[in-house]
Amino acid sequence: MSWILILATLVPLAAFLFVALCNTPRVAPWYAVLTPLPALLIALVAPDITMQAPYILFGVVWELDSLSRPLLAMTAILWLLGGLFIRDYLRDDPALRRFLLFWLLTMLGNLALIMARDIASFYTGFALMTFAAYGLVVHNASREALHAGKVYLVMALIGEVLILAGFLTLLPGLVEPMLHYVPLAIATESYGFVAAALLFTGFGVKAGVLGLHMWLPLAHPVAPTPASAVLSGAMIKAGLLAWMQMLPLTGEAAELVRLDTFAMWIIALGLGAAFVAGVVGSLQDQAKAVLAYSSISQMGIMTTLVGVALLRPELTPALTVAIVAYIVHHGLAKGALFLTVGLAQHPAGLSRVAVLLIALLPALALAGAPLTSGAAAKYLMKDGLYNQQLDQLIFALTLAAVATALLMLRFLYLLGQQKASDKAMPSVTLAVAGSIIASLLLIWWLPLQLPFMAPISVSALWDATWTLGLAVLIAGVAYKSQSFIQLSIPAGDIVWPLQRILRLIARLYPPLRDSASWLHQRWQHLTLGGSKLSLLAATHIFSRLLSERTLQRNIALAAALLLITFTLLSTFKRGA
Amino acid sequence: MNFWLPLLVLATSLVAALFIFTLPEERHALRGSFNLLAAVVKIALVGWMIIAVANQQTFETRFTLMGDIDFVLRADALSLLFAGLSSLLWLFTTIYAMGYLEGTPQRSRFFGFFSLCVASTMGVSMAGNLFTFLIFFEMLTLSTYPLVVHKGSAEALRAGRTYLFYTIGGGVALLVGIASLHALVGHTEFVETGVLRDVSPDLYPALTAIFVLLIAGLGVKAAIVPLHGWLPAAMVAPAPVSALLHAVAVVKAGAFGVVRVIYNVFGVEFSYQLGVLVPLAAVASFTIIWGSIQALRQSDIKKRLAFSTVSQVSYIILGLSLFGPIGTMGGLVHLLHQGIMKVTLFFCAGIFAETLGITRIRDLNGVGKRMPLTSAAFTIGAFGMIGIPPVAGFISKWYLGWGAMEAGLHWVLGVLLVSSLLNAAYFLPVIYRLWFARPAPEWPDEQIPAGRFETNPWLLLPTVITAAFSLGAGVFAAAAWSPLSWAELIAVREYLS
Repeated sequence: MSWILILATLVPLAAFLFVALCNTPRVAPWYAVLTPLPALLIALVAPDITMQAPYILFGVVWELDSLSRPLLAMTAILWLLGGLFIRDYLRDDPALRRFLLFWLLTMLGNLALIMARDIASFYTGFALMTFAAYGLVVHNASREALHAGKVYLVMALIGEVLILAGFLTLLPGLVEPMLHYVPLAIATESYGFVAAALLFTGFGVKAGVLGLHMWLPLAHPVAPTPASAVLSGAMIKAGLLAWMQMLPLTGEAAELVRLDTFAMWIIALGLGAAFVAGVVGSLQDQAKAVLAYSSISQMGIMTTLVGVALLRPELTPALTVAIVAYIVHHGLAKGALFLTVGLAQHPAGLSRVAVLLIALLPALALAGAPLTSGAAAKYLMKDGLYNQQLDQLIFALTLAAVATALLMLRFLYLLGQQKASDKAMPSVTLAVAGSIIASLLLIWWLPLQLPFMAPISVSALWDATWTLGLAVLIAGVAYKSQSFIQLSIPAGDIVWPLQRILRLIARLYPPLRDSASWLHQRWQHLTLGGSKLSLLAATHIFSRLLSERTLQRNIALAAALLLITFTLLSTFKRGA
Repeated sequence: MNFWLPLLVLATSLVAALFIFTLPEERHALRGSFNLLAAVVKIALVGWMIIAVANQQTFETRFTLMGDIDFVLRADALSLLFAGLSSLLWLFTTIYAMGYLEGTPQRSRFFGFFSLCVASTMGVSMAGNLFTFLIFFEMLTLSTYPLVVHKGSAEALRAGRTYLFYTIGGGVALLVGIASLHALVGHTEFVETGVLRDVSPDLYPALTAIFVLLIAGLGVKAAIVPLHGWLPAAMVAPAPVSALLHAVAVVKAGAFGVVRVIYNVFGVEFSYQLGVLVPLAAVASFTIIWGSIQALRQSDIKKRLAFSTVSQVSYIILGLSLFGPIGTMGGLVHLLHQGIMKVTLFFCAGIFAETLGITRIRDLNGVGKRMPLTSAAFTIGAFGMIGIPPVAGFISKWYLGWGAMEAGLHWVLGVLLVSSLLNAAYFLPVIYRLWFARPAPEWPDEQIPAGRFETNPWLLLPTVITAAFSLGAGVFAAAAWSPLSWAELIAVREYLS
């Protein structure tokens, strides 16, 4: 019975093998639509179950519980809608098969890591998802896409190495290689804090933590639209999921260790991301770059919640519910927003205004307008923080909504300027419709014990109103002053100065290499002479190797000299 | 039976060698079938011994040679680790070599020495004392030389000369070390926890010198820097030879010798007491980083793989020098994992050269479309080298890192992570070229056109199978007969007895 969990990943794997090995000239994109279906059905219908496979990796355990179920549902829906989108959007793409192969592999990794409760299969799913997504990012093969792919890959590798370092540091104190033992190991090991920092940073690359976020605004505009949707909607949440399971947020681990400074740093990074990404994103010229910065900003808010949970473990249960709700809300709303970019490019009869109105729905949800999933998520978030002496934090989070609203206004403005083509793409329209319906409805399916009317309480309405008003005001001022103030930050912000610095350092290489080979020449002369000398000495000692008393000393001496001779001769390359 | 079985295992390839030497050149079918038959029989015998040894049985062949020196062949858990790897990979390399050398001259000579080489490897793995080990170790040198110079060109002969210079020099060092040890403490056999535990402390300096000498002698074959110079030069040999040399016979024999010296002669506790383990870890770490840096600078596929081997074999030695069962497990399991993954990579390199005439990395653009199965096998092998799960290399790195933390050598973790990044730096661009780059209008030298299979099936099948094994060894690491379980068995028997 518990084996049905494997179906969620077995079906994408089978589809992958089928597409890879089938040599038909045209490959049907239906695989992309149907393969996430088992995962979705399992998330919606199956009871809480645990699947164990003790002979795989280090002993694999997969679980469907209150944490993985909502995430699995949201992820499966996004991949399904993305697959539907692909059907017409990439219909004429000559490299469709290659795209599908990477799509299926990424999906496989994404679905696997959500259910994984052991370190090995979590890390495997994470690595598979990360590396397969490279193929999605560079699909268009343009100069920008290859550059974005390079930045993505380098950051991904740095993240992978940091994650591995974090795990390896903890291993002596880890009872079993299971995720739920990691917080305890962090709490009890002497290097626990180092491991926590390594894991936070390593997974933070994926989560777009401030300072490690530069790959996101580069990758999203260049990847095909459905890939951007799943990247922002589902994949970056994997980092957050890792933090929630590995940091000592609750239980015995939280009682044993206080990581207050670390928690404050996390909160600072989160709030910093929320605001900085808001500002930088509003200055972008590409709609998908704005959405990327919006993702960084929203992930910043969720990062802040993780930091608060680390600081105040007694709040963790309420905050976990809030974070999960926020993940589901953001994933679906952001996915819908990305898909509307495709709709703006292929409106199929809809007017410009109609497209903007359709896009307005998830935008309002993201901004936290009343009755939307965003309002529900924000309500849960603030509910967990009220009466905890955290009023400044609540105010900061409310203010972050201004940044979000600003970003949404900028996005809608750029969306209105998208060039529309005449090609009819019905599956695109269908996918967008599906994503909007999902983003409006799914959050209410979660067992949140949320009174339906709560998000339209007076205080929530007032917060929504003044934040939106402030955002409109700022946007208006910016619009009016754009003739005499030209502010522009390229997508990827700090990646450009970083690259310049790295290139400067790389210019040091040729002189270093030349001096190294000069030194090598001198060394060769030295070793040839030295080896001749030591060989003479060795033969001399051997010829005196008769007296028993000094046998051991002579053995040692002769051996050492032979060794020196040989080593020196080996480093001397005879005209290779 | 317990007396004859080790001898039989040796005999299968010795007899095969003698038979093949006498075969006329044109009897291809007979030669091929005899080769395969011998390989299959060998695998069956080794498999039988593995099951028996897992059940605590012992196999030993013993002859007295002179005075107190015996010729001993013993099959214990450690010898069967190496023997199992060798016999399995010999079968695949034989199939591959039959396809690779089709139509070339002097095949009887090649397969004759090929079989001799594997016989020597079997002898090395089953040797029960240092003296027997030395006999087969030198026999390995002599039987691999004709394989290195098989092509007969000036470059091949030069490479063979370099190879002999290094390996015979190493053999001399080994001989002096063994003789000195014998003079010092008398005759020693391989015992599970080492025999030198109870010597008097006066002998410690001499023993340290002997340890250094032995490791240096073995280190030539195990390609420790700066004794590794023969390896890149030997790349001029045909691909099946490179696969055999770099995955099974020579480098692993060197690493295996290091295992024997540390664990079964000196004993790991005594080595730790002597203080030789940490310097060995430092030397291995230097080799790991140096090999990876040199690999980055190579533009030839096989040379890059050669330096990758230099780097990877030192992972094994690093694992062995980490005191503790976890580190030992990491080193031993990497002996198997690296063998399977490297043989896959070299098989792919050979296929690229044979099918499309590609020897340089920059010519690999777009090969993934033309030869997807080979490129997929290469990708799996490369990901394993980098240490990305679920390929087998991840399992080794996990245990090596864990062993480093347990042994208190935290800097080794840094070495492992930096080398992972370096591995990624020189493997990922190759994978990018395979799958994402646009191919040149013409291949350098397309010899095998794309038919039903992308290349000669004799070349493709072993490659795909070894790639599947690389993946399987990682995915099923916790299963009962996985390489990891066997390494655990050995480590437990070493530390607990």
